[in-house]
Amino acid sequence: MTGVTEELITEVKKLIIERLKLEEITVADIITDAPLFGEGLGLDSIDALELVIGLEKEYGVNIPDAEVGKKVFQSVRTIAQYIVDNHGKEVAVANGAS
Amino acid sequence: MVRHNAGKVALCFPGQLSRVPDEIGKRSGGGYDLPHPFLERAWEKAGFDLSSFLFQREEEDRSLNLKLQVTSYLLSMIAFDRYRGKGGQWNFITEHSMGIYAALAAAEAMTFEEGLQMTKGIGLILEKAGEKSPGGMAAIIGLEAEEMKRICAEVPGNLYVANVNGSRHFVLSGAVASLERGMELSLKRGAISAHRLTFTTPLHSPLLESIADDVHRFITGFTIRPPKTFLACHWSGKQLSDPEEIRNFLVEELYRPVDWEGCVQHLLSQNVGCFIEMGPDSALTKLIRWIDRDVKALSYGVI
Repeated sequence: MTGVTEELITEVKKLIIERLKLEEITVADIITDAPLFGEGLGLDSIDALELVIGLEKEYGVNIPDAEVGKKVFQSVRTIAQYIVDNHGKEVAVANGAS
Repeated sequence: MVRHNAGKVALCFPGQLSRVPDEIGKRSGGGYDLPHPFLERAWEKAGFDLSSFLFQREEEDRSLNLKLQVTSYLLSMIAFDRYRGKGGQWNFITEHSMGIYAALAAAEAMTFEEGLQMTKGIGLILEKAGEKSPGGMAAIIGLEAEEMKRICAEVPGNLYVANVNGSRHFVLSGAVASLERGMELSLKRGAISAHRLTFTTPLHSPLLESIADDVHRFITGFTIRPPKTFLACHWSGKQLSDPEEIRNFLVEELYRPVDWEGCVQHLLSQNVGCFIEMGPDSALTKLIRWIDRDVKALSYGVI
């Protein structure tokens, strides 16, 4: 894994909290490498769609199907890596969204 | 007491749970032992023990769905009793799918016991229908309405959109082979998920019209009173007020689709500013979050 900064990890955690309206959870409560679905944060497929939309809006990166989604949504780190691999950060910066 | 900012309050009674939530067992040190008088009455009136998740009579115990339906009813009613007991207020009662029985009991159109017996009785009719002609249901997330309709039309056999839960949240219902093909096609066309629900009957589809007479006969034995709270049903929020109308709804809703998105939109137009889900899960809360990100939505829980 390359190019993933701590700053991006924090941004992804903030995006999860904001999109899913997790009012009682802070950035510090989310473990970067813990599973997001089932155990861990206990997210489900309704949450997954919220994250797909959030990633499109904030970073301009697209999750085309369930297969890619399964890989990307393993943990905060895998989401951050997907953003970097798809140059999403640059898109967000260019759009002034970051 | 639940505090809310502005607008009216709608209590939302969810449909059948897909499983009994772990936290109920964990909190009580194993088993689903949740102390509440409703659970004693469930044993006396319906022969169902939540702590062991078993029916007293073996022939009633074979179906996971029947047990989940009764469990869902009980947990919704316990959540409602907790909310009411703490002085919670509400202006509307609404429901999703099989949540109608708890919604009717909460609105005092039926007693707790009548609602329980109706849940179990209709569950048994559905179980028999599933044995006679097996079917199923699947939640599809990510595709839009037009695509869902196309998939239903393209798939050989009988497949229908059974729930419109949001602009990209649907439930399909139909014959098993058609359902499996529909799930496959949905994933191929970019759905973010497609998963089978526990149902063995094609609920909310025209395939269940065949049980209408049985259900009608069964509910004839129940006394239904006018609801004491505005009851907005899952047919786009339509108000159910007349007992005869409620009887017809109870029969027809089993073979007609759920429009939850329309129901929430209708309640929003009636100045509802706070939706409270009555049960241990947060499925409806999450669907409401999708429909309107700004409105307050929360799950009240049972413990």
